[in-house]
Amino acid sequence: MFVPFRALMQQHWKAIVVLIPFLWLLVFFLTPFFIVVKISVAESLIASPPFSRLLDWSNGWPPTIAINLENYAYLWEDSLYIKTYLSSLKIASISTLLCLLIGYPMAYAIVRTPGTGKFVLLLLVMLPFWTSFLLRVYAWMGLLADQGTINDILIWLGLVDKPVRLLYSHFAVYVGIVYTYLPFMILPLYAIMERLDHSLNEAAADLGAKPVSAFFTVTLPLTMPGILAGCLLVFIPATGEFVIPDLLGGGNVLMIGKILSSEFNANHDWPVASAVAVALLLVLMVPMLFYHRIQSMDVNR
Amino acid sequence: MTEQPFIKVRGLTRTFGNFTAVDNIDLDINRGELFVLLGGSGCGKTTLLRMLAGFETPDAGSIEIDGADMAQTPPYSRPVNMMFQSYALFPHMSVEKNVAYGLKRDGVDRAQIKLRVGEMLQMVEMQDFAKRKPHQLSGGQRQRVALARSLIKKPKVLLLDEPLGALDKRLREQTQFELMELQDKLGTTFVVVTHDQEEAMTLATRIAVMEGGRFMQIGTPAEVYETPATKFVANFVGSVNMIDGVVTSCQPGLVDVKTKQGAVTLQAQSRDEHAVGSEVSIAVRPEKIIIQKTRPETEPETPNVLHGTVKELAYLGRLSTLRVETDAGFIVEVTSPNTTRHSDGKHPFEWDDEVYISFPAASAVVLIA
Repeated sequence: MFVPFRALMQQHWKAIVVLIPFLWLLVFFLTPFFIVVKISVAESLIASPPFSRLLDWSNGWPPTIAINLENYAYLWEDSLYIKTYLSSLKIASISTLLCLLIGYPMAYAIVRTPGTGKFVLLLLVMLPFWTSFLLRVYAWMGLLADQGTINDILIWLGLVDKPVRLLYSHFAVYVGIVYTYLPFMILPLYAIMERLDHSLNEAAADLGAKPVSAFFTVTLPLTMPGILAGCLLVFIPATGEFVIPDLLGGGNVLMIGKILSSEFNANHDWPVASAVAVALLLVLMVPMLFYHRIQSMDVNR
Repeated sequence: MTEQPFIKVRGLTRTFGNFTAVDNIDLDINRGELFVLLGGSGCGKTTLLRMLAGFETPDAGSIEIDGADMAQTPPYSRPVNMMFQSYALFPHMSVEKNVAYGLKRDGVDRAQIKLRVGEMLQMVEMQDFAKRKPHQLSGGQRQRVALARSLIKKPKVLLLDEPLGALDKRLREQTQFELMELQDKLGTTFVVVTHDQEEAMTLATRIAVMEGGRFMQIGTPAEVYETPATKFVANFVGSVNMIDGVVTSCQPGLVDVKTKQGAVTLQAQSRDEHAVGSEVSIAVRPEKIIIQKTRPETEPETPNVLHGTVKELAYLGRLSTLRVETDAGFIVEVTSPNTTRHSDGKHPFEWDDEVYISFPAASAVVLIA
């Protein structure tokens, strides 16, 4: 038994190595996804489960297939959903941009820090992951609330005489998303900048490029893969973010994750909730495919 | 020379923490020279080059290039270009774009750029590779692109950091001559950093041998090789036999030295005065020693004739290196050219052969430190 296994490994180890994550994705991603797709084309029922079956066996063989596209039509017709998708994309885009603007100089500074300081800074970037995400968002509520720390300080300093509205606003959502996803921007940027050859910058300077020009002609293009990876890692989860807009945004901020949650939990409309999820995935496929395309171009270069 | 030196360095110092990389250096380099900074790693040669380029700021001293003080001039405004040891080619740009980079930064118009890049690529014989990316080139081709890129702006001075270090031996030898030809054609002043003494000897009009942030000797390759100023230079440039002894007499031009080991008297030419009783070393290059099986027909008391036995023998093809243990006890390295073919595998000298080695006093140098 042992020898055949070994021979199998030797001959097919590449296939086996690929097969394991493939099976993982099949079981834990593709299957649930198909269930969601199935529910999204069902009809909402007051029953358990609260949706109609895809295959109706009541008339015997062959079963009738019931596909109901009304949920998708509903998403299209009710302007709330499109508005919310657009609002989500806008919030995610601005947050991604903010993360990039903050994260890029941070990653650069970390890379250029000599000695062990670099690893201390890198550790600090990753440190928030050691506590619960939910706890950290609650902490922001405490900081941003009317009677929260920031308002207390502002009043104590005499800058304002009554609390400024910080919590339950777009501002709070941006703070939350940027704070939460900043490490996902910094880490890929750090990884690519770490490999950047400093002599390239010197060569640019030597050939007459002033620092700004050297940055735009050498550093920026060479760190572009890190920028793309970081933006994707922030943009995709931020678009579907639920906890941050729910806790920090209150009723003022429209985000698709919140809609999805309320369709599912409050309205018990599983089919519409599923349709929202599937539509979200399709929306997010666009930047993913774009990234994939650029990456394969990079390989061909 | 009445002309002002093209590059004038005075009192230049650079320290990194406790380490003094370049220690109060003065240097004059003339227009059109191919000047080589030679030394081991950490001798300060690269730091000196980087200060000329403007990447390192001197702690003290001044650099003048063509009469202009460089203290306040950032790298991007210096009339100097550098070829980096790693070549530092921009990986995201084609050969053409790499070479054009310097001209573009200066705002040269497109047609002019195209023309000059074309000419430059022609000169380094890379015109067929204009559209390639650096990673699609061989080491030798990358070296040419790096050279083209650093010459495109017609710098007053070209700095080359180990320009041939990344090439294999055969390519290196070929490229050495191409580099010299190019320099001759353009008349640009080249300052080359290298740790390879053969490369330095081949390329240089003058060599500066560096150690511990200072110059040990500055001179033509022949001067540095034939009359090394210090033991360090003698050892670093080529191989040498260093025999320690004490001066027993110093007539004009000739110094007699009694060796510490074996107390035999050796004679060497020297222009300097040496006090009787002072400790010196006699330096003789291995190729300047004659090795024979019989005693050379000279007066019996002629100095610099030693009897010994062959202890080690290395056949290197065009020559053989022998290590002879003299009766006095010290070991002398001798190289002997293989002028005849020994296809039967027999060498003129074999292990444990008894031999006589001799060298004229003119071939030996007296060194103090």
